[in-house]
Amino acid sequence: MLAADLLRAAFRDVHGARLYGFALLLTLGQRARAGALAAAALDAGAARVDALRHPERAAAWLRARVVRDARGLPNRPQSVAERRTVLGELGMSEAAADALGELGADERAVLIAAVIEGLEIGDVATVMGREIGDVHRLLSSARRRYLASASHWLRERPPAAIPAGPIAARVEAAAAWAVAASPRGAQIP
Amino acid sequence: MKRRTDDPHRRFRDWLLAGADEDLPRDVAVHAYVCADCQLSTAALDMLYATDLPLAGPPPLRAAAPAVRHPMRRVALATGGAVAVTAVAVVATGALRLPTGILLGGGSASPSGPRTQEVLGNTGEPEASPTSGDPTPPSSSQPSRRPATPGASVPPGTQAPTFIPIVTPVATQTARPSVSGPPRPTPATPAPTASPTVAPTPTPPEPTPEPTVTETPSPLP
Repeated sequence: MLAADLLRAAFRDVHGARLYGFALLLTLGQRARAGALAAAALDAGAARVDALRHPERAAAWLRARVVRDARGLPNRPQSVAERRTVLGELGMSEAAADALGELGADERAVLIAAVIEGLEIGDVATVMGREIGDVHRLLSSARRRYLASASHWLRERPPAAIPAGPIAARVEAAAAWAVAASPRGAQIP
Repeated sequence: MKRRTDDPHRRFRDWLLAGADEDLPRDVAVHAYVCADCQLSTAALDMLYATDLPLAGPPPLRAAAPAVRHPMRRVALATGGAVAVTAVAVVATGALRLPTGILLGGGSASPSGPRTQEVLGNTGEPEASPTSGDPTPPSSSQPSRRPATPGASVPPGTQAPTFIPIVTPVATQTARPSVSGPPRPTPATPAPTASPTVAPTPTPPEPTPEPTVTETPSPLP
């Protein structure tokens, strides 16, 4: 009995924070709703902890539970300020938070799972409860819509400094390598 | 010429939308590095990677269960409520009708007016016949028949059609004083207890309506 309780506590420690963050993004910063979704999923997952020993499988299962339960919830109006504040605490910029709010729930879920959390496409399919082909299409649509919205936001309100991220770093590295490798130097198209 | 300059934009955008997993072509990389639009697109996606989910902290241990509302749940609740209300109403109606049924059956539930009338009708009829039957002496033979009819205690509206065919016109005269309108029985009730001399005073007005009553039974049979 004690061992089982310890196992459940460990399960919660391993998955709790990230799952709560996932739920916060999915609900666009509605703390109470996200907390309830995450707690319910953790309770259900802890009850079958033996079947969810693999961390990534467990992560996918827990998120699938959150996504499924969130689909049954009615839409609730939410203030932009609250969304920006709560998601800002997770390190998300206002532009990203607003662009995320432009997406539908499924697009948001697939973008969070695939891009922010970096789950494999098979696990994302588990999270969404869809076939992999459907997930690819949904992810492509979500990326396109998010990119259009966030780029527009940044064009309208240009930031003082563009934050460096992994994609910018890759672009910079590729450009530096191209310039260095070019016999005639850089030729910017 | 313009098409050639737009091409790196589109190619870079396609690379981003594909997940930015493949190698970036050199020319596209050099273009994206210096292009303001492509930098904004890059920043837009990088903002997602800046999100740190564990910063959310642990979720509440025992949060309220998510309010997953099945569409049928509200219908089921409404139906259950309606059934409960109906059941309460049925029980309440039955409880209200129970004393009435006891009264109608001659029980001893409540000491109200109709009960005393019935008691008088059952037991005191022979004695009351002199008082109420004062106006009609020939009714002395009829009271024996009247207690036999259970309709004696039934309210006036329901009683008249039932025993009119049975009782002769003379019997209806004796029945009327006890059954007729509520104000009249009260003067009639003291009559049995009081001496027969008191009775004649309230009864004289009674005989006048009697002839009208005697006419109605005759067409029915």
